[in-house]
Amino acid sequence: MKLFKIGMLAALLSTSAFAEVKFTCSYSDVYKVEKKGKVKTKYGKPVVKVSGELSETSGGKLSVKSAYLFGTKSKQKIKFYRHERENEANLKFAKFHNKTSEELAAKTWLPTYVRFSLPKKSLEGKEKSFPAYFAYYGAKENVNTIGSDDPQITEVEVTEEELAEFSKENEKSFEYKLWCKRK
Amino acid sequence: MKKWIANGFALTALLAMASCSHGTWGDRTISSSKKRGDTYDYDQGPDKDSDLTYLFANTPNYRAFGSKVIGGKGEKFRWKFGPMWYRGRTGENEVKVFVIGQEGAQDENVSNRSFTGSTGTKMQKFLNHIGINQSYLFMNTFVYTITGQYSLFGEDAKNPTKVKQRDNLLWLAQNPDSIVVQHRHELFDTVVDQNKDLSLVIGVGTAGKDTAATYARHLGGKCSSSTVGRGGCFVKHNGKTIMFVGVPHPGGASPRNGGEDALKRLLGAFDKQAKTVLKAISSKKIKLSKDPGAKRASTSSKYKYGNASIPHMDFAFGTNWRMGEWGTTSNRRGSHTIQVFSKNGCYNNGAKEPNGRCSATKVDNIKYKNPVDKMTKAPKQMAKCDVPYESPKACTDAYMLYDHGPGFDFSELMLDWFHGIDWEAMGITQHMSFGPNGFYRGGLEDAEILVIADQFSHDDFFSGRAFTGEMGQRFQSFLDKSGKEYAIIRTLPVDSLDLSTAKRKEIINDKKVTEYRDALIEAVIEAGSVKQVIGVGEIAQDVAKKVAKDFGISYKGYSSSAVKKMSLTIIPRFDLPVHTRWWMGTSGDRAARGYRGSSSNPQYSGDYYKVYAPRWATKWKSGSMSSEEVKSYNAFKNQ
Repeated sequence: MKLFKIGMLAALLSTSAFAEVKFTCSYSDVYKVEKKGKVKTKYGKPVVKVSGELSETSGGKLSVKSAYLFGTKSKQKIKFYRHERENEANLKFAKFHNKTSEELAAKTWLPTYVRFSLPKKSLEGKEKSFPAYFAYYGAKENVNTIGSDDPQITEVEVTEEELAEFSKENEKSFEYKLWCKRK
Repeated sequence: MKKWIANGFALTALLAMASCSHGTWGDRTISSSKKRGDTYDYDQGPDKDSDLTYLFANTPNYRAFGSKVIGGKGEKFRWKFGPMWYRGRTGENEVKVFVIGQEGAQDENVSNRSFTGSTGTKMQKFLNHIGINQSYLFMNTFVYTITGQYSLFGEDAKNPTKVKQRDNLLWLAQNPDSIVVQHRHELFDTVVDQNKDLSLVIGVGTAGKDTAATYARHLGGKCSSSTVGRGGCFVKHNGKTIMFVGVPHPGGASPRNGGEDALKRLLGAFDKQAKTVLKAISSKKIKLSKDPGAKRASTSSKYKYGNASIPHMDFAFGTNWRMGEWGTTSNRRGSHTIQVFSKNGCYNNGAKEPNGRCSATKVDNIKYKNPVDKMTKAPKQMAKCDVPYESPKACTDAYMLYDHGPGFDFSELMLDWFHGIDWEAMGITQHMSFGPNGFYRGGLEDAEILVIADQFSHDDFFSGRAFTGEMGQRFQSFLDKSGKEYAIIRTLPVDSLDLSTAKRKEIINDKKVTEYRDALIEAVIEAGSVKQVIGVGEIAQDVAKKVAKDFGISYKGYSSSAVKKMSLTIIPRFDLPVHTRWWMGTSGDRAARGYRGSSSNPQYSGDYYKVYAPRWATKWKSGSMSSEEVKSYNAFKNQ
């Protein structure tokens, strides 16, 4: 019994130390439609639905549903890791993404890279609803194999100018502002 | 009349001044004029009776066929903004290099041309490097964008369901029994047969290389995606040698994701393939002459990876200038809207950092007043075989109804008007990197009615023609009833909707603005047989009244409230550029300008514009397959 009490206390301490939020978010296409002289707001089927639980420090597994992005109506279970940035203290949003710290350090390329940001306050406070951003970067090409099957391609020098030229855009990328409800 | 001839002298002087002063209002015009060719140049689209026009209008039902073949739930293609078929030359003996990619994205949807985003500007630079600046044509493996991935990676490659779906997609994309491949090969055959000097085919990315190899085999060659991607593959066809070569997809190596190593591999592959092509030319393995005015790099020179702006001659007249300028210039917002941003704006409206760069973490809170759908079902003019997200299908002759453009004489007059005025100094807040919009609509050379209209919406920014929003759609019912030929000229070729009526009046009636506009109006009157001038809108009525008086033509005016009472119809297909999707020019206003602040006191941004598909079009069912599509699907089942 004593051990159980200690366990409970430890569990309570751990949950109070790491802020967590359980939520469900969605983004739908919004249309204004005039019918018989009256303007009505219509919502299309949600383009993106994100739900699950996130811990401020360790992230969590989120369920993402988007036939538009993934080409299937099935839920995608994605593990999100906390991604602290350089000027983290000055930023209002906490960022999570699907790269592990090792992958991030090694600059590993992922075929589907996803990012989810939500206000830090929402992790600590008790707001019933809050905004969040979901970004999806889909692959068009396996860059890991670019040139790797060709022995004639060796390491090339990259000038600063060429690096600057390298576009930061990936054409198959999407970013949505979602509206979330705490569960 | 005398007065206008006298004005002609003043105008000649103004035009001369304008031609010397393109740089007076910043680098935007200079860069646009010099790097992209003449701004009055444009692509009029393929000839209406050409095989390509017919084949474009015979695109298979990608949605229904894709769902059947690939399987699983959900759409397999992003269809709401329709297909993207080509960029470049569509006439006979105009193409020497044929570029094949995977698919288009949002920039291509806005510009209605292939390869106009960041992959397009990267490949433009590659073409320039090998001495080709105009004799090219771009097409894709798929005319619609796929939702899934062409290749599988990591964990996905071990997932049996995903592997099966990917295999099915590959069948759809590359098997000769697939209706998608058969349709594509009909297009490619037309291109190869009508261009006797075509000697180089470049596949871009995995899918582009696969497609190039599939087509090379269709021509009798023994090529694989791997040979195309390495040293190239040579195919003898109709007495000429065509080289098939591949480059990696530039869009895949994202610094957000792959980092510097991915870039190094990309640069290496581009450098190697540039040299492969140049060696094939210098050793006369293929006959590929330089384009006039183009420079060809030597076989030993290093390929400098990057962007090159796409010439104005590749876009329909009226396309905003951001398209193809440099990298990606638009982004999707949901499935039914696309936002275009200026040179001063940011992708996904990222906030501007103090150093002028776009932030990847902070967002500029740009809002829009969503336009109201004024139609809840398809217009009656649409044929049963048509779909709202494509231009008219070949089941009726409507597929040949499109406007080639104003003609180069009128185009020059219009662009001189735009270049001749310092719009920013006059108070126009639209960013000038977008260029002009909404100059005209209708037949400029045979008009019986000349309509001079104020700006009422932002639709012209996306349609490329004047007066195409709700007010234009209402006024069209009057024009349709008249049964007469008409030409419409807007009072200003820039966006002034955010300004007060007094300010707009001041700009519209400015002496220099008036003289340039009058030159265009005079040319229309002289070319056609104008018997009536109509002013639509409070300021346009005064302009039209003066024109009617000067030319001794009858006048009629319509206030905006009078037009609002007219019944809503659609902008006729023959007024819109080639491949304008059916829902454009219908359903009321389809575009909006971004703003900051509250909706009651909006601070309009000149950097963001957005286009919206109407709900009746986005709810459209995929429909059933044709007998040919069913036959193809049966071949898939029985493989």
